[in-house]
Amino acid sequence: MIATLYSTGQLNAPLGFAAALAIGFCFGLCLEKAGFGSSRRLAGVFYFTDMSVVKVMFSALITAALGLVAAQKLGIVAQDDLFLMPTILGAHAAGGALFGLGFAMGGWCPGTAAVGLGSGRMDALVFLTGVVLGSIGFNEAYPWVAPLAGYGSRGVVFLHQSLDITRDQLVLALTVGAVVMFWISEIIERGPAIGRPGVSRVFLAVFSILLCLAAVVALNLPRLNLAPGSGPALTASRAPAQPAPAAAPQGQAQNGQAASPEAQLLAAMASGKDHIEPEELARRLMAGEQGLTLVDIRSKAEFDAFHLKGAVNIPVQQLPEELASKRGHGIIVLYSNGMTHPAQARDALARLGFGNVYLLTDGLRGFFERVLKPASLRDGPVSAEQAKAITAARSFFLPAEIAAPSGAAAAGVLQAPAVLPALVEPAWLAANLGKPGLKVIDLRPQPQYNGGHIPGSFALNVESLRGNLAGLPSMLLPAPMLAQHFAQMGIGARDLVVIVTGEAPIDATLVAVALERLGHKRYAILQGGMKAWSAANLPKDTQLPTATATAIRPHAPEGPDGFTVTGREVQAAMAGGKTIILDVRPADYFAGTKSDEARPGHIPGAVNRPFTEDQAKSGEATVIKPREELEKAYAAIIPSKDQAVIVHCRTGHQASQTWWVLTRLLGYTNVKYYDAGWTEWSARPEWPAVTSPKPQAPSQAQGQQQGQQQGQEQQAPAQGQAQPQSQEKKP
Amino acid sequence: MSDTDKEKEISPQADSQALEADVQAASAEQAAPEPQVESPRAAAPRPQVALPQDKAPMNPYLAGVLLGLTLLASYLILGAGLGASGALARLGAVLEHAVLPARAEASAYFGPWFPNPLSYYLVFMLAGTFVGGLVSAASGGRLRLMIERGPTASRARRLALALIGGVIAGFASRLAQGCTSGQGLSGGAVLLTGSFLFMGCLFATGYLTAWIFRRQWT
Repeated sequence: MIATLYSTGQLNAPLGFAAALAIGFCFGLCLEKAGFGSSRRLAGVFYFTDMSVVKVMFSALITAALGLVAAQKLGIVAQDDLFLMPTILGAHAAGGALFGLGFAMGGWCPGTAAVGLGSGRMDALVFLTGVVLGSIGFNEAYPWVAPLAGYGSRGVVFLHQSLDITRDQLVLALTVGAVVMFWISEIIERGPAIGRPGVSRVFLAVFSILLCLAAVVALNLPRLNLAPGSGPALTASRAPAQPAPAAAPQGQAQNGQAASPEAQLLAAMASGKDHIEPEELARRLMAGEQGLTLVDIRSKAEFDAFHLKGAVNIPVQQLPEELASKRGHGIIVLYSNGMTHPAQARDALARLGFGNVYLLTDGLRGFFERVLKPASLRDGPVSAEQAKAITAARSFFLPAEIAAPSGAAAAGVLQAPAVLPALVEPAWLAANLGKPGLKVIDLRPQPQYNGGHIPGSFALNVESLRGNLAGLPSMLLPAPMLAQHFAQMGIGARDLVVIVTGEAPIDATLVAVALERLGHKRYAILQGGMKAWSAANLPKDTQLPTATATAIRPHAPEGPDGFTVTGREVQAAMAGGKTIILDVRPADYFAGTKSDEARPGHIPGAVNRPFTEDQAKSGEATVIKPREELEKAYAAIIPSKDQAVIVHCRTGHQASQTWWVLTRLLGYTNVKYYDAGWTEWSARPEWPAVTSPKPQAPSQAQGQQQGQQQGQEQQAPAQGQAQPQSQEKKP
Repeated sequence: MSDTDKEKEISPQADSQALEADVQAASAEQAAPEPQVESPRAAAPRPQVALPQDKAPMNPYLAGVLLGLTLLASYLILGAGLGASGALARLGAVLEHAVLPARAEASAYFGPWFPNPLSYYLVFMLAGTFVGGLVSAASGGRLRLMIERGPTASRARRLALALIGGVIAGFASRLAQGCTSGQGLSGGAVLLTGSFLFMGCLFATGYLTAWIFRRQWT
């Protein structure tokens, strides 16, 4: 598994710059070789005289798309590690239309104009100047354009979702479509042709066949499952190497409009722009660099307890006056324990004209982790040189009694599971308990927690992660609020969170979904929860843990989390008929014989697989069934791993378990979570609902009821364990 | 570019691509050996876009495959696709800052990029694109200092259209969060809905309006 520079937050760091330069070089080379250093050739596409644009663009698009499909199937790269632009229908339609006009007028697009300039074309230079001016124009017009720039914001949406087909179908259709376009292009060009490389029919026929063959091969590659337990060697190195991306500020409103300045500020901060890395700061401080003003914005008490050498303590309110003389001179580095307050302060200072303010990446906490953490406590191997640097930094920054290497503390190095998220056994947790970077969350009610819990664990009530959003009750809170919540518990971006439930695995998976919304993948669920822990006679205590608030990595691309869908989207999916809607409520609720909501029944066409069927008893404890068993059960309901699926229940609690099992345990790639569920659907009379005749005795339904349906209509997308389809009734 | 260079260009091409070319295309190429001079083609029913007689570029399909592999490498290494307009917008921010620093820093769109708008991976990518183009053009004998236009089109017309086209494309690429490379090609390769919408609208207006601007190429 490749950890892309985007996923490790290094895109805008020297390594990212070097890689971008090299890739840009190849990009320029390819464009020029394709003949795109010539505006007349480019413009030719609009006059049907030279169709190179179509040929090159679609050959490239199909090649890259097939390559990415293959890379994802083989587990070389994960979709989460790619930067995917959210779709904004208004902006993309209007932008595309305008761009087409600019392209036809100017004869260039920005990338080809750079190549044209490299080829000596002066019209390219003029065009590039125009693009720069047009960008300034956009900036100036932004206050007026902003509503359009955010109109029709859909989050990250794939074309196959919009068309309601599978990804494989889309890729195949695109490949065939491209081949057809190539042939049409050649036919169009049969007329007058000047200075264009001729392509023989034999070549094109061979190329067409190879492209289609490549598509068929890519689409039929075996899917190497990334889910825990099945990780091939390729994926093994991933978890420990996961770096610390910069934490971004919480508390700032995320308004969902991708192009808004606030969102961009968040993105810029998350991507590490104008941050100073702890190692870099340590190097500069130890070198005694002049012109570096280091400001500790924590409380006086904290500052007195410990601060970085050379730092001054300035309360946030006094920053502008105290730093006035440093404005524009040298660099100012702000730090606190985490990143929130320095980021807000930096923002305020930037608006006052301070252009030289930097944030310490990950704050003091990150500095301890990356600069001062003894070599013996580090996850990866440490070279002799690094070890020397660490010792030097410790003796420079820490009081003598702490700086001395301590042998006793070295024993505990966290052994994270090879692939995260994961299901872990009590023995694993017991072996890693108390090691740095491990945080345990206990979801039992407080009285039980107070009576004895896993040492060091925090109590959390799952309901505190949910609230009323826009009139819909029991909705998982938005990412910034969740980030705040976890940050207050002292959970940092690099912490491995272990979720421990009392009874129901659905509590654990709801917390898992909350972490996923933040993009936090370093978590594991304790199989069997507290009962399994107790059954194994593992230690408990009644001490309350200590923690200082920190910052967790919020979801990197702003806006929606990418897996939660709205009722309207579910309705569209239902109308499309290609998405499997998986209703995970108990069978009697699905059938409509029981109801706590405005209407009984279920969404027409939905398939019932009660969440309890994914659970089993192991002694006292409720556990999630073994992967192999679930794999088989779901293969009977969902034909392929990239089939579009929407899971829902009544409030989103039970569905979180099915969503987690499908995506994280079984590796399904296109499963969405309808959080509002039947609560919302039943309350909208304009959306259809159906009830089924009583399927069978509901009391004994859980556990084993496969294959004995008395189904009425059997044209659901999948049968297998599906509950009987219902008799359609007009609402 | 010196005269001798030009004469070299005039000689009929016999590189490997030309061999691959089918008879029709090859004969058409030789029928118009003069650089920059459109061969009269009165019978042709549509506007002509003549191309300079440089060494023929690469087979477009192979070039496309190479470009696709570059894009794939970009996704696997950077985790992001190719892009060009982002860097130019950053240049715009620097330019505005040079003239009106306070206004640029306080602006809603450029503001968050300060203090270092150029410290951005796409800026480096565009620099690489330029150098790559330069190296390829120089080695392929296609480097020539000129304003590319139709044989009868005036320089002023061509440059004015290039400038206005650039302004429009610059504005549009900010609105659409990317240009043909970043939004069209890179987003298309990962099958994003917005990218296909962008490309569809791009070609629609391109074809609808190209007729108006045909004179610069004739």
